Amino acid sequence: MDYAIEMLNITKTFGPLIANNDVTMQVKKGEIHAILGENGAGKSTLMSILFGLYKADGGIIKINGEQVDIKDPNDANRLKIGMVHQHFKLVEVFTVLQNIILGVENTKRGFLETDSARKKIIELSERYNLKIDLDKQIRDISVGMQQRVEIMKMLYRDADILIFDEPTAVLTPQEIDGLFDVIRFFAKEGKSIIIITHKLNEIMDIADRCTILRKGKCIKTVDVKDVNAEVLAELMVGREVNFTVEKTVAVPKEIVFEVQNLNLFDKDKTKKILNDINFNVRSGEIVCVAGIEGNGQTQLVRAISGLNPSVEAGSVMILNGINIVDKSIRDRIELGLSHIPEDRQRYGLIMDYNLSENMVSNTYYHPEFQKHGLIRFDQIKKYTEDLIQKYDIRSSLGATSSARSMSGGNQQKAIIARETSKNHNFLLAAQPTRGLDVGAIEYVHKTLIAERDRGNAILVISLELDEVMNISDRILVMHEGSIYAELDPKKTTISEIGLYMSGSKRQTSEVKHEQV
Amino acid sequence: MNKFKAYFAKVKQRMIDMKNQPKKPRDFSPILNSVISILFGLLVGFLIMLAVNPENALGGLAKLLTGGSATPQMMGNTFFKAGPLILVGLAVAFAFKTGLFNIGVSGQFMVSGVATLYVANLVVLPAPWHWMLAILAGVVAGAIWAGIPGLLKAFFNVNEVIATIMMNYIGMYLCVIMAYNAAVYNTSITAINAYYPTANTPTLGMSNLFPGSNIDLGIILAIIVAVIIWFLLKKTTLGYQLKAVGYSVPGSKYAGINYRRNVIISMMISGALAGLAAAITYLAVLPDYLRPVNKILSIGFEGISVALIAQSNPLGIIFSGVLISYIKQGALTMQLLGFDKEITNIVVAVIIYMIGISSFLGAYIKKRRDKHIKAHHESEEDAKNV
Repeated sequence: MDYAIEMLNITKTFGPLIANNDVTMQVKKGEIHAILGENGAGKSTLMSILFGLYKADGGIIKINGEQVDIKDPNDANRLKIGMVHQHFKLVEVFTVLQNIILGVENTKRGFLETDSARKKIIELSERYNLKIDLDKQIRDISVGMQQRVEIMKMLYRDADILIFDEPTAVLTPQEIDGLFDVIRFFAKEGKSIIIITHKLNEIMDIADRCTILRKGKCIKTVDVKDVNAEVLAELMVGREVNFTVEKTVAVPKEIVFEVQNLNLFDKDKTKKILNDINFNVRSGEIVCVAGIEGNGQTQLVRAISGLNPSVEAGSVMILNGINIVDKSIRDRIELGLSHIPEDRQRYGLIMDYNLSENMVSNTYYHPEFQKHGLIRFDQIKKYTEDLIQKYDIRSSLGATSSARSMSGGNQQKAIIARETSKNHNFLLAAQPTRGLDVGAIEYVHKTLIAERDRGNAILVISLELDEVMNISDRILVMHEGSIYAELDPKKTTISEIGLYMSGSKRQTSEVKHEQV
Repeated sequence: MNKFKAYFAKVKQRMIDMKNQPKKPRDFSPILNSVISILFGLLVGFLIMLAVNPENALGGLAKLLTGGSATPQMMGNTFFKAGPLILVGLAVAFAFKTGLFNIGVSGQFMVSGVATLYVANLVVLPAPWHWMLAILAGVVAGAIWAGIPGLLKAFFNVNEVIATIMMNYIGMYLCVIMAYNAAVYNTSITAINAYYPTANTPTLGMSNLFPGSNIDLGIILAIIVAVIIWFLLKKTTLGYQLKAVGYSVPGSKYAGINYRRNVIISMMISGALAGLAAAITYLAVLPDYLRPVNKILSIGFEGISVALIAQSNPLGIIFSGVLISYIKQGALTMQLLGFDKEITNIVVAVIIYMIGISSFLGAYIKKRRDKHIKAHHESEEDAKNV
């Protein structure tokens, strides 16, 4: 059997950290090969080595049976290796065409010549059914279209080996289907495809074989048709994983938080980002806001938390009986708001402060943590050590570790510990499991359910439909700044939510009322 | 007695604990960073002296290194001149620790100087009250002058670097106008100075320790203030929130910390420190005179040097302020051998460059050492396995 790619006994260390430890992966020609692993398992490092971004400390790489030395991405391009990164590498103010040819431009007497490139790209897009608008600027096109531009970049460079890093994170269910069709077509043409992912059902759907990494080590390579999602999860985490979140039926009581006629324009006051939003959250229930990224969820969170206070006149947000529209962030916190922010490193933590300083970042002025303006470090340390125990927060130096040095999962645990331990009865959680691995996700879900059962009101914003279906007691679907549907998770399906998410369907207000 | 015993037992236990703690690789020490940088700066200064005047180079270096402490008088003057340097260093460092870059220390210094001398010459009071009030005037003026860019930043998002540079020019011309006021202007020295002796900062008899020098209360004030600033940043809720804003504006906003208020407070404290520096400069018995000239004083930029050498550590600034003052004093005696005192500026500049790149150097050395330790461990483990 000849392999298109062989990475044999790859080892890569960063200081004391061993990112890849004797990893071997072989990809056949025309195969769709998945790489599965938790965060920090070494997936991205392995692919970065293949793409020439890092140099391995040990091991060899063979392409089509020949040993090669990939020093930088240009070498990778020459070997017909292409990669779509998780965060696209596109120039926002360039057109699609300019982005595709960037780095391999044709020139004619020193001037840029694009006609031949345009012809080649149009041919390619017809052949693979990849619709793109060549003359639009990147900042004006959708995320799905941007991904197609990235794919086209690889095709334009005649890549035979295509690497996709978490390609579905930003797509709707319908867009994911489209992407997978294209990928299958590539494979049929004889291209070799590597997909990095931690979504098990996608692997079951599209991959032929799957290599599982755990803590930098290669655990196993399996034929996907011989396994199921549970087996994959177990291989990935190293223990059995509970997929369905166990929870009792919700017993919602009084309304804790209510939004009435919430309207918000963008900075230039030209575009409406939030359009007449009305909903409430009761104590003892989890309400999930589902939607594709960029449909106003972030702005909704910023409006509720007070990070963006400039909502339109007439908007009302009532927390525990008080309209908080004009209140400062600190007032909202004091009124019972806890907030797990979407961007945990930018907002949730002060990265240069240590763990204990971060645990009191919104309560440091309370009498238990200060006396006459002097910080009571001993109290803060005790409080932090308590939370470290209770929430199993792991870090190298305990309470004195800097937030920056902690892993993403433990950073999130720290934020959750802080927000659920302080005085509150309304928890706003924006994408609380984003970028976390299976084990950590399980943990976050359990904590949210426990919060609910303690009688708090919880509003979760999530892009993951599995998560929405699993933990919510009520689902709100957002599209273009409006709420398109309010659904009961027991009576709906993922594909139905998908239709509302993409805006192809909308509940009329009467239906909405019937459902409630 | 028992109390002492208990205390010593506690200290002893703590030392044992420290010993038993698992050894973690120490970070490349910031103090060592600074010391190496200083030595390197002096080396470059020496090389320049060698190039300019090879015969006297060694003597010149000796003068540069010892001049600041050659005589009790020189020693006293080193400390005397260090006071304002420490305070302007603190002004820059305090803003820097809270995420702001105060380039306007010079302007705040000049405006405060005028305010101080106006109070010194237009108000008549008995001794301690007179100089105290004059100092207070300088401090308040500095706080206001730095508070304006703070307000602009907090409410209109005007970059404080640009605003403080502009305020330097406004402050300088304002000084020229105010200095020509006949009520304060001293035509015999074509400058303004403190006219009444009651306005002079007391020397506290320290000139007995350093006979012939101008040393006075200033250096003591500077050291006390440095300790206060250190305490404020390290131990208080105010320091906590100021630093939080400095480390991360979004992060502190999220936590409900009032970003605007803290930016303004931070700038005002920074300006107040610059103002105190001006007050002790101009109220000295033999001061630098405040001259109405169209030139921005370099003291604010020296403050940046002082802060950078100490890597913005308030306690470190006491030492870096004295160091710069010491080198400057040494440069004065170095002139006797025909060297320009400007060589000290080169030395200081090289020191700052070295500190700038030393963080990279430190990281590099740490990496090398980690590799070494790892290799060592592995060979040990191999040995065990055999």
